[in-house]
Amino acid sequence: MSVSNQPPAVEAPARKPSTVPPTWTSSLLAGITKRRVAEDRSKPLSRRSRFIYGAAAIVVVLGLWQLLSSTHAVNTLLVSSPADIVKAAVDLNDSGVLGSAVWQTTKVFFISFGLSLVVGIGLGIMIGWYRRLGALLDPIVSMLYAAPRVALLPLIVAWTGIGDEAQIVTVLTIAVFPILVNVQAGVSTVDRNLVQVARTYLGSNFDVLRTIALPACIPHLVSGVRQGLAQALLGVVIAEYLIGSTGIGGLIVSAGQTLNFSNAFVGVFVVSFAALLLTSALRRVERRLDHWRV
Amino acid sequence: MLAVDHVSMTYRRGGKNASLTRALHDVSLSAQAGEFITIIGPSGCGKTTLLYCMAGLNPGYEGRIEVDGEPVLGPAVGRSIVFQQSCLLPWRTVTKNVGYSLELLRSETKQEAAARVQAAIDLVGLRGFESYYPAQLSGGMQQRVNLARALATKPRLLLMDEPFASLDALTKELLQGELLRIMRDERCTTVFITHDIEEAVLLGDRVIVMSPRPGRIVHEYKVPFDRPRDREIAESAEFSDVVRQLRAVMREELERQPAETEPVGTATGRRA
Repeated sequence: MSVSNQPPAVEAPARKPSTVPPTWTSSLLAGITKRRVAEDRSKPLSRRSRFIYGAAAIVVVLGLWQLLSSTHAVNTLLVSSPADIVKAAVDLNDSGVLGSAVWQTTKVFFISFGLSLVVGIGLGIMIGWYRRLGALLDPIVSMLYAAPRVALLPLIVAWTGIGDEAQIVTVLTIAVFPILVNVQAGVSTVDRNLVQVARTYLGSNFDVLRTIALPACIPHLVSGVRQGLAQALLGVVIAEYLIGSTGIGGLIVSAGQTLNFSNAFVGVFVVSFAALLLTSALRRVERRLDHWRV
Repeated sequence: MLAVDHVSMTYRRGGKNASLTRALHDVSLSAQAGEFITIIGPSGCGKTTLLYCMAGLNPGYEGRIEVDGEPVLGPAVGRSIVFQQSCLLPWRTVTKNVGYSLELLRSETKQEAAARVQAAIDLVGLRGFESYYPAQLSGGMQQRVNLARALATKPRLLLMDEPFASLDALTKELLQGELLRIMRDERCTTVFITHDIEEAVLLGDRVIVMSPRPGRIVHEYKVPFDRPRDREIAESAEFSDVVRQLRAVMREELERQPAETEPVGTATGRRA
């Protein structure tokens, strides 16, 4: 501490090296008390290692599950096992049940999600851009967004009958809101400085929308679509579950009712896998749209 | 060419206890065609407000502003701004950003516009960076794009709002030199705002000193150096004298202000 107080000629006595050899307790203590500087967290994990970690986790979980089932540590009637699920999937596929269920669900999903995109993006741009329209519709949108829209199901069925239309409308009411709300937020917050640039060069309102508001909105759009996608998948299974028992949702219901849990798990896995595929496809689109972010 | 005649501007600060702020008070100045005037003053003295009035982005001023005999009522063809922040569209490449002004003006055919854009890019020394995005460029290069976007329109009146204020000292000097070079060929009337006395003297034919609260012109100074110039003149003793005189004037003017006023002269002895 106060080295400077000592006469300059006299060197501070060098500390004698410790003669005591390190024991395992002392090295353990040193390991604990050693100052560790935080690591630089700016570098993300590479895509490859992320994939390896993720795949490894799934393999481990499935392996444990199979182990517990094979050793009868758990009741296989209730929790099934990966091997049984694969067998059930093959049987369902051979009988054509799985194929038609997947086709039915895919059809309903893409029609309703496509409609949600069209309506959500269109309306979102409208009410984000025209501020009076936004003020007019904001309370209604917030109310509908917050309301549990599954409660509308009986009404929808009464209006459209039991069929694909009812399911499509149900999914639409669920998936459209996150897209709409995010697009609205993106379009309504334009960078004032950039608007000044457009004004300087006599840009019209439409120019501002086209060249500033819409490009700036894309990240919002993507996060809206991501939320909408997850909710649409959930919505389509729920709709199938509750209306007409068709598709994957119907497969899961009837399997559950007959206590055929392997079949039910097949349905669950198909949906989960679809979710995984769709989100990674979306991430790919996002990367392509975001290339300017460097 | 440019005539600002008894211009005042009052802002209403919104909210519950709304108050009126006098941003500009009875400002008059004029510039001849091809003249380069610099307006200098401490932050908050209304320099930018005045510039935006000239651009037509602040139509609510009192008094009269004329460009080429036409009153300024809004933005118009022939007036460009180089903004303080580069204000580039982050999703557009350099070429597309430089072309943004011409694209909105819609005054050229596609080929003419493309040729002008390339010429402006060459002029500011960005050849080879055409396909870069703003995030890939340094601050100095972003300001070059900002300048090229304004120059591409071949403006008769170029308004520059402290374009080098946020750059590091060396980049700033480099760009000042570049601007002198560019202005040798593109002789458009220019109003350049700064709070750096040396910059004002180096670039301007005339330096106009503004004082805050309310923003008004307190001094006008004709710079005794001929054009064309280059940065070398900044090394001369005469240059230092001019800067010293001007600094003394500004200090005197500011001392008449209430104590809250910030001191001027941040630019002392900065030369590398």
